[in-house]
Amino acid sequence: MEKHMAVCPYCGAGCKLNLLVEDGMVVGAEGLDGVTNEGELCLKGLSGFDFINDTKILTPRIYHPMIRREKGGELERVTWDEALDFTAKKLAEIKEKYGPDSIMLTGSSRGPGNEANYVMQKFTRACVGTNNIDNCARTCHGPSVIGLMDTVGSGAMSVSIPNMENADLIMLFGYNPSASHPIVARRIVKAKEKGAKIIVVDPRAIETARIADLYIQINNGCNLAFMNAFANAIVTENLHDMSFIEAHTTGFDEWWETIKNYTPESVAEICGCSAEDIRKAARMYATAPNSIIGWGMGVTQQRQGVKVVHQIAAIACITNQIGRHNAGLAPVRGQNNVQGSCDMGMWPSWFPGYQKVEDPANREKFEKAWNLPAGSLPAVPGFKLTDLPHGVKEGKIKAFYNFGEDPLQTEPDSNDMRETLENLELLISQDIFMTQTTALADVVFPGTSWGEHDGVFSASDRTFQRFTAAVPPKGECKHDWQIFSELSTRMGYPMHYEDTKEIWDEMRSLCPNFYGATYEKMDGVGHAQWPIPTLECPGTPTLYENGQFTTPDKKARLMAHDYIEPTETPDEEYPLVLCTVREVGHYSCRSMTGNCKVLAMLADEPGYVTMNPADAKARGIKDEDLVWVYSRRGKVITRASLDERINKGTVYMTYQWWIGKCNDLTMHATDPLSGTPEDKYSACQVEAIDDQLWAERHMETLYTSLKDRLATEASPQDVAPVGELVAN
Amino acid sequence: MNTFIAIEPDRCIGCGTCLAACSYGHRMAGLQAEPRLALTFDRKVTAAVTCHQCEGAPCLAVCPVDAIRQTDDAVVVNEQTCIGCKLCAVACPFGAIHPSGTSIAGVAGTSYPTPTYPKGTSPLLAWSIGVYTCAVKCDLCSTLGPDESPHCVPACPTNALFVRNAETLGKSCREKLKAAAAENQVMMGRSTHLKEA
Repeated sequence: MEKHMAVCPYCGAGCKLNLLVEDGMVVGAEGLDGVTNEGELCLKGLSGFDFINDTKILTPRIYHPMIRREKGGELERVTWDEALDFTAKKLAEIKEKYGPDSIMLTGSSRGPGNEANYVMQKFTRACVGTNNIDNCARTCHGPSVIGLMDTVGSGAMSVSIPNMENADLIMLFGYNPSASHPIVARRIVKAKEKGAKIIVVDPRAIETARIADLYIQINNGCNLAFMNAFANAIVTENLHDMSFIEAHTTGFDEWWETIKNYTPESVAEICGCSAEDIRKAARMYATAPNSIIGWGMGVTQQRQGVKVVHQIAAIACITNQIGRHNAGLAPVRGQNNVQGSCDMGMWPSWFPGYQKVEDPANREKFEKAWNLPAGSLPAVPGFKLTDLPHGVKEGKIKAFYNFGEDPLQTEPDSNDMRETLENLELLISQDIFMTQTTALADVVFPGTSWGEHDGVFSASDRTFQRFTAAVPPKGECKHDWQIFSELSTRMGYPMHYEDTKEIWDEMRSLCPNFYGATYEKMDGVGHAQWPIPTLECPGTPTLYENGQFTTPDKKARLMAHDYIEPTETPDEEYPLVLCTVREVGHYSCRSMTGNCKVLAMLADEPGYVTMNPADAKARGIKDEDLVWVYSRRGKVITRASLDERINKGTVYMTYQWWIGKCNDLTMHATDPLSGTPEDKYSACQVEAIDDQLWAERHMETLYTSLKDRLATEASPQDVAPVGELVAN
Repeated sequence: MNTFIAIEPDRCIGCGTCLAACSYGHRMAGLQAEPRLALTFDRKVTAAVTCHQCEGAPCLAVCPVDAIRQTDDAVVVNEQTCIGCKLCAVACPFGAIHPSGTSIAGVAGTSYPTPTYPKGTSPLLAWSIGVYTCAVKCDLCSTLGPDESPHCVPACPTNALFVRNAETLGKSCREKLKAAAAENQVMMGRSTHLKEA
């Protein structure tokens, strides 16, 4: 049996593991002693390997390039040469006709790794000539990235995951680590056992609420009101650190002008909790020697995501709970390499290493390094991922290059997204699976999975770690960076790399904060935590030590905003709030984990809508019944789970299900500051189905026909092109 | 005394890693893939509950075909002998044994609602073979091989699961007894309540 070192690709915790290989098949996984996981794995790391062998449980893998010669025609397997020529010609035509900004690309925050993303953004900027590149941080922690850059200077966790267990107090706000990051939840359990106090503020009594010293069950959509009052309580009780504020922040007086109006009593009704609980939490947080505040999608996928992040960061600053190993900010990333996508400049306004495209000096540096004529890199920030639907409707975006993402599953309002993708002149999908999005593509490029290539992932706490190929590429699959290089070369901007190390070394030579992160440092279970500016630097687990923020003036900028209510509030027709959450045993669009035997057996379609027993009873719904859930956007069938941990008036659906698909129901409304969809709040209704026998059959039929459709869509890849047959 | 697996609910985060490890181990041994542990949740408690390997196992006593027997290691179901009568599930005081097999969801007149296996998309697997319904319960992984120990215990990322046997239970009993005695000593020394009484 061979063992190959890898990094788990199923969340931002960055767990090191070995893939076990026998006769070319991946047969198991075991934890390695990595810096964040210390040998532990959760169920996804332990059981998320067998999709690599193409189990065909959910949808088949793609082994060969395919194209549709005509829009709406059948997919046809072609040679790599033909597929690349076809695509290069189409892209060149669109660029010629509508300009480079009519082409939009998205990086992949999942299995491909940093090197593939670096090459993709280089292709986008240097070859296509646009900044229209983004990544799925837009739909998740985009507000954290933007809000933290504004306030403290870096859009990442300020503390490291291992140090979380040594905090004196951990406050979780809109974050459920037990489902999102079990290996981070483990640190919180350990912190508790070491004597830390735990505060949980969440509409659901999540697992951590059980061990919390203070649990506050808030209403959905009240975040900014709550956090403003929390800040108000700190200042009115004189628990802020005035000397730190004066030395290391700006804007306190202006900030207070807004915050002074938000007494806990004034927002208690909006928040659905007592004013005393807000005060108590504020006291505990501010007076603990070292407090960490963690947040997740409950903060970011809201109408005021960025503004709440501004406020969370401001609270950490005014209480001096920042810049120490055990005190700071912990927005833990969802996708395994969403930190990496941002690091690599898969963002419409940044080159790799968070270097702004608007800055002429940065453009000049990259032009020189990439052998481009002066003035050729685009200076204007590009479109955001969530600009795609209206960009296409307005005729501004004509081609979309989708890399390892499944927007039809993961973006809000999937019916609208389907229309968007169908109205493109060219949709390229580079993936390892025939996903719902790939099934619409005009060009299908087969990439390699994380078990089949080398690379570096960035864990949520800025930790770079290497992973290696366990098995060779299958069929005609190519490494993602090879595909971009070959396409770029055909489009007149030649690129060639021998391996991922060559790409990585080019990248770090251009990014001062990553320069010291060499492959050698990351050998085996080694790691490199940025900022790591020199070869001698051991890495930086903690940001902002001694109040040195990374903003231009080294001071934190305090900003306060007024609360507004969510966009779509419940009414008579749609009386329930719909909030989307995450499945512990599945990942992202589920194409990988849904094809793993154990994970598919533990949780399968149609998933659940979890609801308070009182809401279920009022609708005649029993536990495990199949039900309809509908909103202004659509209607889906799913199974009810009655759960007394759930607050009344809100229902929760995990976004991993293709039949019980919550994104058929969610709404494409975004936080104007980040473009992040308001997935945590829309209005819906749940209805009982009288004939459960019919419903079971209906659900099975839907599931089977979806799987059949995807398998059929992938089947042309089994027919070799005529030329190839002759050659053989 | 029989060995069994105990849980510390305050450490359990409900992630189900124990279920995955259990399922994988048994499936690889050609046994039912259904996990032998079950996660239970209520407002206050989350815990993976599994068989206590009772000394006077009621499941064993009620089995009409002697499919359940007591080995040196555990109370074990012979999946080939089991007829799926479900009496054991009724008798078990912990809900730790239950029938599992291919879902019959959608078959007229039945109400077993949850699909328990994923149907394949491969043309070769288009006709998926049904899984016979029989009782599954924790066998402490003793049927997986002679040197096997419970897979769920080392898999738990928060170390919430423990193997409890005569040795560990005896040790913890002795410690508790000592602690109780010590407490008593202190009270006597202070001679506050007892003497006055």
